[in-house]
Amino acid sequence: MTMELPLLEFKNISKEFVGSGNRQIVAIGDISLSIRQGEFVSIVGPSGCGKTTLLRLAAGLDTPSSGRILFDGEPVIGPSPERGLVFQAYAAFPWLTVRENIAFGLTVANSVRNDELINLWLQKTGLTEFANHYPKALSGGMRQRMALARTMIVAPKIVFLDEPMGALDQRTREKMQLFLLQVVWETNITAVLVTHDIREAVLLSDRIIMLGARPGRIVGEIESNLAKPRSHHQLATPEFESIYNQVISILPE
Amino acid sequence: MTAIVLLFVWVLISFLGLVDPIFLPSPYETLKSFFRLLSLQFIQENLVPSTIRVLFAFLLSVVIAFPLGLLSSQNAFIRKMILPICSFTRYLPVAAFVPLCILWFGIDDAQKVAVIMLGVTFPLVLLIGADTASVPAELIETGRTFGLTKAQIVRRIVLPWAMPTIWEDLRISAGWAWSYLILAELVAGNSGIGYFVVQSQRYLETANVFAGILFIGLLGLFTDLVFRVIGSRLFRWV
Repeated sequence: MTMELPLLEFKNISKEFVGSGNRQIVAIGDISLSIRQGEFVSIVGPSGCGKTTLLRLAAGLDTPSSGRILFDGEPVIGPSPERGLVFQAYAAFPWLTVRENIAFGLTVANSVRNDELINLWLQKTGLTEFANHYPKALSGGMRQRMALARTMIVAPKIVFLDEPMGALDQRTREKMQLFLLQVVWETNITAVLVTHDIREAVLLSDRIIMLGARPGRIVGEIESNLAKPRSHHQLATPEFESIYNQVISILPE
Repeated sequence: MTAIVLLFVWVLISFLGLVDPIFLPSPYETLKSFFRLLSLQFIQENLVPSTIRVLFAFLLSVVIAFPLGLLSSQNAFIRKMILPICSFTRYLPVAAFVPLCILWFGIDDAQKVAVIMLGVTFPLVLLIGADTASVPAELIETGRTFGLTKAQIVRRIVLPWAMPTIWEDLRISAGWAWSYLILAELVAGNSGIGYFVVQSQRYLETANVFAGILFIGLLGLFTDLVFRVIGSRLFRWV
């Protein structure tokens, strides 16, 4: 077996903000982390542990105070369509129809309209009959499926998910988790999920990174070897319970 | 409800002859004057000039305020240049500038346009600046992750997002434009609705004064309605 180059690499990353009263706030202390091609990694931790900051740095929306981030061996210097991002807030473009929202990224990259691809994603998200509606007509779950489709349609190499299920109710959340699993399974994409929900992290990921707060740092990581494809039935298995217990035993309150 | 009570009081006062009609004409006289105003002559002499002045001055204000507002929200340097001036000017009452406008522009159309523009442009820059600054960060960042340039983000995200609120602000400022026009016409001029009102006052044709005021109110209401109807057509997604 050859040593595979990691797809995404954080090398001694730190991030400081200027807070109120000109106080320096260290959001991320010193984090090093490698993510392999095709891996589904979840980042969990208390609020203020810098997990969203970590995603924003990797997406190229912010720059680290020190350290380097390598994507595909190249330093990250700004955002790129190769690195997709789904926000917790649905971030739908309200003035565009569902179809236009999903197609948004395609219209940036090239002017060729790929109707077949758009229809395919409308179908996958179950939004075909809403294609010509505006987002205001959609429920929270539908909007979030639309946002995921909009990110995925340009075929990024990695997708960052910033608590995409955070604002959904329990039932919708489970459906969204299944949808996410299906999309990741089909495209074999590398995914990094930030979440508050440890059960969600254990169920979805190959690896769970645990962060501590003030400053944000890695306090532990656990591989999840639950059988694939994953489903909610696994929530009741002893394997799931064992991984879940390990995570909460390490994670600070 | 309140309107009906007020109308009833008005009818009662004039019916009982409590107030000299020179000060308070009866509702009937006012209505009669109002319908007399709907003549071709009145429309040509007063309504048309007033409307042209408002339209011209308002459009010019928008043409100036729109790019300034947009630039001020997108560029820190321009914001620092523009905002203090606008914030200060906003507190100067337009009425105080009327004499100066007469001195500079005479009593013709240019003076009316100047007064309206002074009153409308500066606050509109601030409003449009605030509207285009209110785009949620996630939307702009979504654009950035798709590789949009700064100019593309403005064109494809900032403007579409801000358009409905900008339209709403235009609706409100169109109302100001009417008020400032009347102010300018009251003080100096030889045509226009404001001029008609002040002339009627000079000849003690109080019913005409009332009818003129009613007319101005209805014009404002009409402008408002036009904005609302067009807005609800243009921005169906809101």
